[in-house]
Amino acid sequence: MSDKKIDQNSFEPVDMSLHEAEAISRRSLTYWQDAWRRLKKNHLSMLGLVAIILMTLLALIGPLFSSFSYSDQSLELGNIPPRLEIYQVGPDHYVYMNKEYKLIEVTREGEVLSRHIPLEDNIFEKFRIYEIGGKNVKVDYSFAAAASKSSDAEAVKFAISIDGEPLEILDEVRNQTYRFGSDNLGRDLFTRVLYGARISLLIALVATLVNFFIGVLYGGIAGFAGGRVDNLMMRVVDVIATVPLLLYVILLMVIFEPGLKTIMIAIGTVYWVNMARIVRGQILAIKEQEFVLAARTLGASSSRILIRHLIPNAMGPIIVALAMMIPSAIFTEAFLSFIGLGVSAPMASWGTLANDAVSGLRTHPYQLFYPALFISVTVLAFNFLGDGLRDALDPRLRK
Amino acid sequence: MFKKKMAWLLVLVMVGASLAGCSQPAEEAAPEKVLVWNIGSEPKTIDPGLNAASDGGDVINQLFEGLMREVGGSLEPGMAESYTISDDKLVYTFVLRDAKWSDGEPVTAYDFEYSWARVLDPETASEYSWIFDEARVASFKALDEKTFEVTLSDPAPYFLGLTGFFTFMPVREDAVTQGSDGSWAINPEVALANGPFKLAEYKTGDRLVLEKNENYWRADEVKIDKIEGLMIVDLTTSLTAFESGEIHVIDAMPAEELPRLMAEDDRFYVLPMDGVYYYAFNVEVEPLDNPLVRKALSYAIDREAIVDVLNGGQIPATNMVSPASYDDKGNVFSEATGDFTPVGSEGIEEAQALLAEAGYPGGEGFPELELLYNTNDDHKMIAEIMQEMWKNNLGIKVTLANQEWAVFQDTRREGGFEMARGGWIGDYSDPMTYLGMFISESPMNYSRWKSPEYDALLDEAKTSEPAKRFELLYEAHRLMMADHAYMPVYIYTDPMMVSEAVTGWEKTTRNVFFFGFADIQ
Repeated sequence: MSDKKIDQNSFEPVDMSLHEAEAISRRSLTYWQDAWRRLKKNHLSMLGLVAIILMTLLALIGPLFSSFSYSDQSLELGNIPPRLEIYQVGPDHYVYMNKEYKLIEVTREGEVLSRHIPLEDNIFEKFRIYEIGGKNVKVDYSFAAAASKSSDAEAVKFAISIDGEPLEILDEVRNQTYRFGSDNLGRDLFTRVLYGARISLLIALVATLVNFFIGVLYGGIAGFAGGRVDNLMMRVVDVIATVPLLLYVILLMVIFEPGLKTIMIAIGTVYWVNMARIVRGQILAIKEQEFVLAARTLGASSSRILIRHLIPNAMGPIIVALAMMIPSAIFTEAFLSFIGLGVSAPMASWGTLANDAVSGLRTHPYQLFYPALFISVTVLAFNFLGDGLRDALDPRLRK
Repeated sequence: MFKKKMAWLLVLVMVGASLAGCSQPAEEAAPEKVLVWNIGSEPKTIDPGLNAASDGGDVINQLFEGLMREVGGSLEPGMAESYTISDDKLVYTFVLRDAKWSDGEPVTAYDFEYSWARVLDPETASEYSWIFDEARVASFKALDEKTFEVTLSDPAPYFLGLTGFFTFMPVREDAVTQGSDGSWAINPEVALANGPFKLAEYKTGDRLVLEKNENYWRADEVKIDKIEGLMIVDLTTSLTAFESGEIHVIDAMPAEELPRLMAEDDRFYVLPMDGVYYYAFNVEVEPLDNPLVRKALSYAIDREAIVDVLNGGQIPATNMVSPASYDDKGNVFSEATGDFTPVGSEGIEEAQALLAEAGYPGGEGFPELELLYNTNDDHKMIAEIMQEMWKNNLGIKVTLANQEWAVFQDTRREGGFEMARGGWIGDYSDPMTYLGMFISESPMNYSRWKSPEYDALLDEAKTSEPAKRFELLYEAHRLMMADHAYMPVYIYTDPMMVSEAVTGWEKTTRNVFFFGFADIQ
């Protein structure tokens, strides 16, 4: 053994930073993490998502903050709008005049108290005389007929006088008792809209789930399997699609009681057929592409190819169809409830609330406004979210 | 649903626009006078012998004419040219005029004989055959082509008025046999009429078109060429169409709009009406078989609050006869009977006591009941009010169910309900038109309340002198009310709107439309 000495100096430590250059600096993201990351970048979608979450929370816990239940009536306080034009008749007496030219006692802040009983109610001469706080108040609406016929939209329809002196509007205040106003039976619309959200959102959820799980899988299997299986499966879809939803519901009524459960079952039975057709068409188009062949060569099972490769690639049309389906489900529920096959009164969904309000639309438009607003916002939110999801879930856009 | 309505409106607007567009050249030729009238829901039938509803009656009154007809508030000879009444007021002999059917054939006494016999034939299953019994008709016979003789078993002063009622209107055998269950009447090919109009078109669930019957004996007085009867169920749609001038006559408006219309529209009319809005309790189901329960339910309702919400001038009903009938001394029959239900909220405490007495203190253990009504916004509203009143005042739970009108009528007649709404419009000015409903075998006795004593009282009343008769009727009415098988709610009024362009329109004292001599400017 020679005694050559190893010179320590001929060695130097490796610069570790070179290693780091090879390291994968970014955390590896799963498909869903990536989708979420991209979804977060889409502000409109996030707005939609937040709106949906808020709406759901409101439906779940909102009614707890209301002092009314959805069925509480006070018949004499019906049809009071969310904003009140109040008149002052005495130091502590404020009144609001409803569309029937009847006076209602309110507070300065806008709390609705009770309806005044007129001393004299002359329906032929068209005036009412009240005694409020020791004062004589006269509501004269005898020129209403002429005013509503005249082309002048500003024509005066009534006059309120107190001991002979004309009375002017004091202020316009928010209705503190009924935040969204009251309906024709004096029920709090705010509470009813919140309770209605439960039903409408539940229907939307059921429609979504059914579409997604039954429709997408069914269509996917049919398209992927092809041939006789496809033919058979799609003929079943044809049969289901030819029977109208209404007929299903009526048949189901024979077995079940009318109610939400029946509607959900009915929607569950038929609402997925369109989705199945769309998905099948998409799968047929993409299953011949190279990435499917690649996956198969690598030994991926059929179910893996279908779920991990084909369906994500068909996500665009799926989400669009889904977003369209939700409002239609909400409207279907409203229709079924109206003809007596859905939720029975006094429980109300947004659809039935809107429906009830239509009969008084010309006199009390606010009754339609709130349920319609909530339906619109929900549908819009689902559309925004759907839009973002389509982009986020599309593997072709994955970075 | 909302979408649907918007679609409807759009369709109406477009149809209106296209009509306006194409009416230009036609106007120059001969302006056709078309009266557009919304019937509401589709009548179950427009066969006079089978009809039992007021909407059907309205259409029938334009198409057919009985022996007499009410015009301008008084009874005038219709198909009959003249009539004689025997001294004992039992035999009516009608001499028919030379009137013709819409196909030109003469209207004969045999047609009347056939029509009346047809109603009474059990195979026809007419829901109104009992009215012959109430009219005390014992027999009828066509003596020859032009002479019709009717024999009553007892004097019935209202009989003559009833000959103008739809059940007594003539139909012709060769037309009737061409379609069973009244289907001949809606088939323009075979339908025949002897009134001012005849059927020109019938579209199920959409519209019916009547055109002037040139063979009507007063055809020269009929100024309208055509009546379009629409079947728009939705009250808002119909009101919108009226306000935009698409429809000339509507007789149902949404309750929410009534105050506005009453105060602000001079085309709005409220006519008095001889009718009672009520609820029937099915006395064959538990716990409604207990009169205490029924009375409690009836006492727990604040009728004043209900009519206040309805806003159409209705008044609370406290028994089952409307205040339009008088007794022999000129007293209002229903007032003299007395009140059997509270008017306002004063009966609630008694209702609670009654329910406790029946074994359900505070509503405990009371089974859930179902209230059935026919699909309509106003009926729904009233049902919701009642539901809440029963819940708050008695602590019992009532669920609501609704059915389409034709289905509902069958369900109700067959007793497939627990509580059901009903409305009865008097057919003639006598308490019998109400009390006749409650005899054991009456098909209108939806509650299935059966009392041999009541039947006997009514039977006896039929053959009694006026003073005794009313005494018996009072007794029967009180007996029936005391059992609370029926719950009166309010007395109807008849709110309606007629465009100022229409003149000469009529509603009979029985609230049936007659457009025979109407005109359009």
